[in-house]
Amino acid sequence: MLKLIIPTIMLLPLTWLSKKHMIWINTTTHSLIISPIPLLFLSQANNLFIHSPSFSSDPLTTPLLMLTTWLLPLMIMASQHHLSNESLLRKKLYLSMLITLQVSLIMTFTATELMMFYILFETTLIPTLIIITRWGNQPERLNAGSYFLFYTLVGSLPLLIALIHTHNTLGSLNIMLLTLSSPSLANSWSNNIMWLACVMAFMVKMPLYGLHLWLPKAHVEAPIAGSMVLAAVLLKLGGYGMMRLTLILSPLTKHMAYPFLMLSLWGMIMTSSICLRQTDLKSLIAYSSVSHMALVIAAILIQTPWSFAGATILMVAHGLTSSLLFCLANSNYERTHSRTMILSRGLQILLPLMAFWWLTASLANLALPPTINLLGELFVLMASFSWANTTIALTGLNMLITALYSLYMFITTQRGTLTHHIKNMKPSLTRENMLMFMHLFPLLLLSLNPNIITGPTP
Amino acid sequence: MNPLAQPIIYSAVFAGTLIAASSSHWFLTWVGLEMNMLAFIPILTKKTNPRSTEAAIKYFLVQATASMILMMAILSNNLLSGQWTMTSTTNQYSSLMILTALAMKLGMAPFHFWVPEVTQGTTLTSGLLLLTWQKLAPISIMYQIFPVVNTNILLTFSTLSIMVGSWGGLNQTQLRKILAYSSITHMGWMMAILPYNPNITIFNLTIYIVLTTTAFLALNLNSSTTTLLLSRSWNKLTWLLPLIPSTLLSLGGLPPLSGFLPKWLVIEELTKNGSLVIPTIMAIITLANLYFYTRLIYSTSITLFPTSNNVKMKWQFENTKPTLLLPTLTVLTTLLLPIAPLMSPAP
Amino acid sequence: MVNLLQIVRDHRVHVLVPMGFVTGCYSDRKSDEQLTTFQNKSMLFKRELRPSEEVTWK
Repeated sequence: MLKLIIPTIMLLPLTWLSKKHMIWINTTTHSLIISPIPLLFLSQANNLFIHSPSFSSDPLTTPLLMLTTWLLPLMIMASQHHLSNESLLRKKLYLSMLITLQVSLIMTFTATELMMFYILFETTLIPTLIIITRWGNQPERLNAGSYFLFYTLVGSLPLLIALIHTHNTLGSLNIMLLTLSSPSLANSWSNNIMWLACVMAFMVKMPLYGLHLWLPKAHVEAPIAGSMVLAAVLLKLGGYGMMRLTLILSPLTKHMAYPFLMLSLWGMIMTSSICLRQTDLKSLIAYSSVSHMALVIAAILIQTPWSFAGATILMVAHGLTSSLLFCLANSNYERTHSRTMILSRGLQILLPLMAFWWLTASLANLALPPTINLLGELFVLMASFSWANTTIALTGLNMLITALYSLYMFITTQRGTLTHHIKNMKPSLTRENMLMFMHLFPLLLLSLNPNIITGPTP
Repeated sequence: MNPLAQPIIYSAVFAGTLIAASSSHWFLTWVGLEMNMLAFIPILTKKTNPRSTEAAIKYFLVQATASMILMMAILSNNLLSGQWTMTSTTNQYSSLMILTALAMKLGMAPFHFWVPEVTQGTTLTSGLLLLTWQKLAPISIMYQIFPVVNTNILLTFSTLSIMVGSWGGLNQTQLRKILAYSSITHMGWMMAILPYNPNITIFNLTIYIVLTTTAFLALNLNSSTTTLLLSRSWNKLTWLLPLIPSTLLSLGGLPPLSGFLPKWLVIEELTKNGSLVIPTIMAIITLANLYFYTRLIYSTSITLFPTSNNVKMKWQFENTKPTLLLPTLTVLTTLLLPIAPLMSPAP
Repeated sequence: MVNLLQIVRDHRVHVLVPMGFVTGCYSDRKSDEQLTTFQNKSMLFKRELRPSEEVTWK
């Protein structure tokens, strides 16, 4: 595992030693060089001890690692324009924050010990907080940063207590040992509360409907790289943690899951309906994230092999899709300096290639066939249908509303008459087109062999 | 202060603490505490102005009251048991009185009201001594008498301290008051673990002293005493801007920094002793602490406050204050967690 | 010659990440070997190397 962690750490001296005109090129290239390293971890059995006792990966971790390492070059590419007016020192500081976040994310995903996982889970908060509050565009970013920090912390402190308590009673917090030995927990009040304490941290992080208020704020206020990494990777920390911990708490999940399943199925409909009446582009994408993650929560709580596979695929697919949508929104924002959709309508005439990316992104968002989004949603839908037939009403309705708001987003930004104030808009750059392509490329390519991202079970 | 008086006063402060900490006879301990307190008053009034005089008087009154309560407890214990030895304080009423007196000296809730007032009245360096060195003697006494202390009352005091320290600081813009409230919170954490594992108390105290010293020294470089002044340090000492957030986040106890270490150990020890609710409450309330630190961070290094032009000229003046300790201390405030196993005593 | 030095000086940062990868691979190999020796101490899990296998750990 060090063959992934050490090169990523080496990106820090690379950033600071690079010459002024080389920092973007160097960091992008070298993080791109790093991004195929997780592919080395693909061929392996379902065994978390395979690499080393402290950092290791299994088929659940590897897709998420691939996603994480793939996102760093994309984030760096996307933030070039945002930072073009900053001084060199600040650019380097910004890049260092992104790289530190990357290192802590890799270590979080690969930690084999739950206490280590917890500490690193919290470590990811600091660089993200700094990225959001230092480089966001509006004064409201401070508020958003506080929301982000304190929602997550209040959610995760009970987890800390529960973990320490488990450590005191069982003597180990090794994920693999706990999963295999899995002490069958009796259905008692204290155990139920422990289940809540363990899962609530990730419910906040995912986020579950009702605990999601921090997410639209953070997404709207964050700079582009912050939005990308939040949507693509940080939310997946929640899914990852839930998949690890619900297995350990196995017999309790069966009855404790009901309220949360209901809430996530209901919240899915609610948040996608909220999307239908958004005027703010980034906010729309943020709410669509909440709605997609609700599907992942439902899948994880159903706890069947198919639903786990579906959840993993959906996490990877959503990571790429929402990140792509945020990039597109940002390319609009850099030109019009407004997130309001109605102010940037009719862009198809000006930027036809961008319109193509918008179309494909919207189609991926509503899970059209050749993308892995479809695969994930199909798995989840089938798993939830066989769990309870009635869920098809909710999930089906959600598919419909997703299609509706994707269409709404596409039509509002791309079609219609061109307004006068954007007629002298700059054309799209090769960098931006490349960025969109690099998001779409794995999304389409992975559907050729989705085996590698189906998670631990099949 | 008179240069001749200065060494005498400082040596009296240090000697007082050492006497109180190393003696096993109650009377000598009391003498040490008194010496320490009396010698500290000139340090509080190093800069003579009405505020510092007021602070010194407040400090004197509170500490003298505490000393008298302590004396009364010692005497009553002597009357009842005929013992002067510290470790044989058997009577529960006298141990309760001792606890009260020491809580007063440490500034724990509900006897905390003097701490912010006195800290606000003095200079930053005296405030640093007040919030770090002055805690040593009472805590060392607590360390010696912890088996006879009433656990319920101590836990009540510490939970109350954590609440007061967290909620009190929310409304503050004065940095010294914020640090005083943070000290109250930390005292709560230290005392909560005392009946179970006093070694963790000492460890907690050490980390707390390191963190508070870093914070005070960093503020002292720019003589910042309010949030507004702190927000102007960007054009004076740019390199301070990443250091202050990491120190403050560490004081707030955010995980990868060393401030998390004592909290982790305290929670671990409390859960080992079967209490799960109290550590949860403590940890969640301490988040309010983190909240006002993040507010300080926002104003220091995240945002740029609008300033007048003559403030911007400050960068021309060179910093003359010594910064020798700061790098070491900053490393200690941020990076202790990974090497935590090295600090554990041999099994 | 001077040009070569200049090129080296300009591009020496590019060494860092590959060097990190090599170091990482090396220390991963080391840790695998250590774990293998650890595993071989146990009578139950001790086994010979299969053909085309570097370490019995994994």
